[in-house]
Amino acid sequence: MSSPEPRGHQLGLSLLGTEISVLFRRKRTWAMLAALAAVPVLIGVAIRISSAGDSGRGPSFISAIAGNGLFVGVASLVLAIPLFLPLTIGVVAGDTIAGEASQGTLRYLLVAPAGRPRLLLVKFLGAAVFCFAAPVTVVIAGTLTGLVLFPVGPVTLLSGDQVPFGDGMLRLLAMAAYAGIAMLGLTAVGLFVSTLTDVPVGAMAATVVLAVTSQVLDQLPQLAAVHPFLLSDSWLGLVDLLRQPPIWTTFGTNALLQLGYVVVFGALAYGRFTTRDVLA
Amino acid sequence: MNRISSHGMRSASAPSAVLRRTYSLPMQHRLLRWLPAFVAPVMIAGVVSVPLVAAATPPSPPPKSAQQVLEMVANAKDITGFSGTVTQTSALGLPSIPSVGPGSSSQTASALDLVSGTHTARVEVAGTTKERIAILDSSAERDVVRNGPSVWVWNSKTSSATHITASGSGTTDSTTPTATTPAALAQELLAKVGATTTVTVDTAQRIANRDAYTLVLTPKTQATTIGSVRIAVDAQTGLPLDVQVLAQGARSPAFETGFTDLSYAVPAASRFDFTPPSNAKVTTKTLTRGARPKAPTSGSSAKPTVQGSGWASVVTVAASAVPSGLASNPTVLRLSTPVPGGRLLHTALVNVLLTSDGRVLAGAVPVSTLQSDAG
Repeated sequence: MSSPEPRGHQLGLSLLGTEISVLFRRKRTWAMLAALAAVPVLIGVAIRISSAGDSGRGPSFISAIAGNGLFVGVASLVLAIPLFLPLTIGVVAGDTIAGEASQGTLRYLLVAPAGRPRLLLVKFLGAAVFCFAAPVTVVIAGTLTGLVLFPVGPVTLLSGDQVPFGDGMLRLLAMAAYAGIAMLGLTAVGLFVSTLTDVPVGAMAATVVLAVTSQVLDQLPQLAAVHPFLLSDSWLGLVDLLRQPPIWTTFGTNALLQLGYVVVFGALAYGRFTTRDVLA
Repeated sequence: MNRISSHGMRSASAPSAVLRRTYSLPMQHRLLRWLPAFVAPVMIAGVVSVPLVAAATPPSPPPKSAQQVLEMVANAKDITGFSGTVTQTSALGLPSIPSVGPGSSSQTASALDLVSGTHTARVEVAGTTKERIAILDSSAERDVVRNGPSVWVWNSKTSSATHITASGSGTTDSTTPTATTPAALAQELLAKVGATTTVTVDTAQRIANRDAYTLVLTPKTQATTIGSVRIAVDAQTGLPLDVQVLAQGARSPAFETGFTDLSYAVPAASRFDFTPPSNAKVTTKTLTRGARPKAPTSGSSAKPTVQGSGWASVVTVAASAVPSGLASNPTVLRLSTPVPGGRLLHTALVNVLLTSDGRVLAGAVPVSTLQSDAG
């Protein structure tokens, strides 16, 4: 009973290592991370060269950038979370199974003695690593841009309190973690969609469309009753970390919501992937 | 369960069996693989609905009369401090007000914004002189911090802070009678409202994880739009936890504000020391006693008159006291509809009539009452 288990475990780990290294050796992954890193650079440069005074009416946190470079990262993260992050995560998650199937490599992966559930788990974890890599990229690029172009100093929180720069930086990292967790549900949805088809582009598009649909539904007041259960409902809750004291319940709610999506769509992906005929 | 795991094990030891296994998988096993997909949503639905079901069972604190519950409320001033989250929901039937874009006047819009839609605020209170209310807007926050005679108003959107200090003697608010006992106060209140209102105690409820009595105020008159006011009172401390206002004949509240979580721990004193951020726009105002801010419409010269009594009162503001731009304010124009005799701002609870000759009539009464009062 116990003898094959460690072997399989080790195999899963090495499979995960391979998966992650393959993911981060792809040019596409780097292109997407570069595109994400371009968001804060663009925002920073645009604000640096424009002399228009802030009206307090632009997108959130943009007007705070000129006063404190740390807000480049904050504004970029808030800007990236509705579309840019889901877009890149849709590509990575949609590609997981369908990509292998379209290249004809899925059957070889299944020949390795890892088993389908383990392969599915490895694919999910690989995409999850990207989930966190993406917002961290935005934050790093944002912070570097902010340090280069703008003054930095004590950070003014939404509540009007000021905290030291280091404290603000910690909050920014917590926001990146929040964004990463917020994308896990979408990753599971993408993984499931990816098991349905052999056409990776279709899976990617479907995942992104689902993310957008969820946000559209979240805007309809008539559907207020289902809003708390929508995939994207907690996405913008990351700004609650900029209040004093930070509202950690939002962080917990987000994690629970995403866990729910991971469980449901993980189970669906398991059902589909372990019963499906793999021909390619 | 056992069978599935033994399958997994076999696949781990026999590489090439994986592909073959799929084809030879019996129907039963295929269905078993889908089992988690069926169980997971059911499990989650269970986890989500258990607290809802638990909340649906009313708690049963020792029964109390309306008089006793009111006594508890009067006693609640002994609470040394609390903090919690308050959620306010309005379904007044106002059209949504865009806060940006053409046709919006930001000041009116932000004032009206507070009475429409849903808002969450964090409330912290220590003693009778320290309060902090933070309205948690999306990506923004508005704070009111009161520490004795000094009040700070902070708006994160505009990064502006206003410091209001009350000069003169005493605290800014001394409406709480001190000499009377809670019992006498409750009696007095009941006697006062008794002529117009029926006060009853309804089934207890659970608010913010606390048992609460439900105090129901029902107007005796039919001439008002208000059906009833329901106040949840903490069964242990007497603190009002939730207020619902229901329109005549409505089953769900048109307006509700109440705690969603609450702690009776006294917040740290530092929470009430507001220092405006170094880059904020700071304005300072000093209020002398007697010059406290009034409702913006009431102006200064002509005092508003009241017609009718009790719940069906109608307040009339003379044309001279109405701010001149009110009738042409884009937000007001957007919200109101033309009716015989002027323009009407209609909500589920309150109606406001802006007459053609510039007067403003308002009350929790049907439109016809306002029109006949306008003459």
